[in-house]
Amino acid sequence: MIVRFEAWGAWVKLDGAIDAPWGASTALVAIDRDGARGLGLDGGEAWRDPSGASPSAPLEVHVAVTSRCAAGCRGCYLDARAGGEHVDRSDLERTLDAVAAAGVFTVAFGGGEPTTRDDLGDLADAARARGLTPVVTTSGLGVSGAKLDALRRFAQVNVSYDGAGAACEEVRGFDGAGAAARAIRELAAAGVRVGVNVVLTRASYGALDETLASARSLGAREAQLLRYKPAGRAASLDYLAHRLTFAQAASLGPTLRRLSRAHGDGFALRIDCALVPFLSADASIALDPALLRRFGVFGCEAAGALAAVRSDGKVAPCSFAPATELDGRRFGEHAADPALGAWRDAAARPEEPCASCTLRPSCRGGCKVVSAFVDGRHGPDPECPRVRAHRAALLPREERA
Amino acid sequence: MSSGDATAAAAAGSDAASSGDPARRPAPAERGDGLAGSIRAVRLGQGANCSSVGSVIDTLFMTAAVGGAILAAIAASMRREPVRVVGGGRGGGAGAEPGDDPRGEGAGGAPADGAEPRP
Repeated sequence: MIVRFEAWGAWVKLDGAIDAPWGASTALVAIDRDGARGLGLDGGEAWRDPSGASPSAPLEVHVAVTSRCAAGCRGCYLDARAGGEHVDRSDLERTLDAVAAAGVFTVAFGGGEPTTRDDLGDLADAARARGLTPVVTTSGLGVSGAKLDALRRFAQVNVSYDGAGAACEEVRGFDGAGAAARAIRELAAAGVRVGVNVVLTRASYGALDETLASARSLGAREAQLLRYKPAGRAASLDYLAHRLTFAQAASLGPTLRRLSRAHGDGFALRIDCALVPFLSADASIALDPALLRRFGVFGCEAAGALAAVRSDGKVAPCSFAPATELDGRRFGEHAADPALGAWRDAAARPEEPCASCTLRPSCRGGCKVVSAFVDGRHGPDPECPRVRAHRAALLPREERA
Repeated sequence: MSSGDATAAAAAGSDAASSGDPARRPAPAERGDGLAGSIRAVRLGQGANCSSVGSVIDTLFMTAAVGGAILAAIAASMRREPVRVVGGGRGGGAGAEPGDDPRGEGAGGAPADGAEPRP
């Protein structure tokens, strides 16, 4: 197991060492100092003077290895294009050096379409050689032969899959479902742990049952549900037409509960950080917020547990956020970067109604990319049901009506 | 361990199966079972999304017995795995957790309630 000491104890990564439900063999565990001592561990410097400690390194970093992609998805957050450029291999390896030295556990390669690189498998090996766990996301386009061999070198591969046929086309603007389905099937047959990324739009939300059933039948082991976000090509008025309706957002908790029961045996269901605020509308979850913390449900971790290195080599709080001036090859300086610090501060000190929300320690104010786009600032997530109710209550009676 | 096995394991000896509301997961600290009681947060799996951070949510809807059995299995795994230490060893903040960080969630090195690992 891999241990990273923190002022409060340690993060412990168990890799392939457990056999939990849904086939998850890995876990990231936070244990307090007593627990660490019980394992014979001593936090040393990290435990001696926590008062002066600087922010810890992220737990995972997303690295764009190319801006090239021929898929042309309508909502691509990177605005990747067929004529995009690959990131220089030596620069990537220096970034991996810096990320590993900082104590990051997992590196997720993305783009652009990572499989357009001929050296993708070598990049996975380079990450492993540095003690990092490499994972990757692909559209599935053209995944066969040598590309399949390259993907086998990753701990997990996620394929973008928003449903069959029309559902996929509605989200992405083209019908890539067939290619994605073939990729899922071939990866699973090759013994790769494969998951699917499902973008939630107002059109795809209603087809989730069918989408998850289809993904599972193809061999996927888990699905990660992603909120549609106004970044890249999706940062337009079009966003307002594709995002979840407010009724759909408020129904997320019950929907997840139903989906987990229907598909949960041997199939894991994940949500992304930006969906966590929608859980505030679920009374049973809101009344037991410790449960979210205990089982590590992360809300906005931009510049916290998460960071990204974009295809221009610059570090960003997350893949959807504007880049800072910090170069990925100097990732170890993340704690001192003022732009990253500003994102952490925004999440740590949210205003009302987030400040009094039971889910705040996990949610951390919701998605800052959404609030920046809709409200023009890093305030409370304007699409959160609780924030909407709060704002409605502040309106004069006639406007409320 | 399948979820069925987990349930059986819990029924066989773990006190994780709470006697009260079955929907309420036991807080490890309340259970006092050694290492499992020191677990502040667990993130299962690793995901592979490259654009946002994901979290397993099936755990939110499990019975207390299954949740407790997962924690017990993880505690047992930690006791038998060889250790490799990474990072500079200067913790306390942002990305990781909680309480002791400069963001004002708490103070001091020993997380109390409300200064739990910040997932």
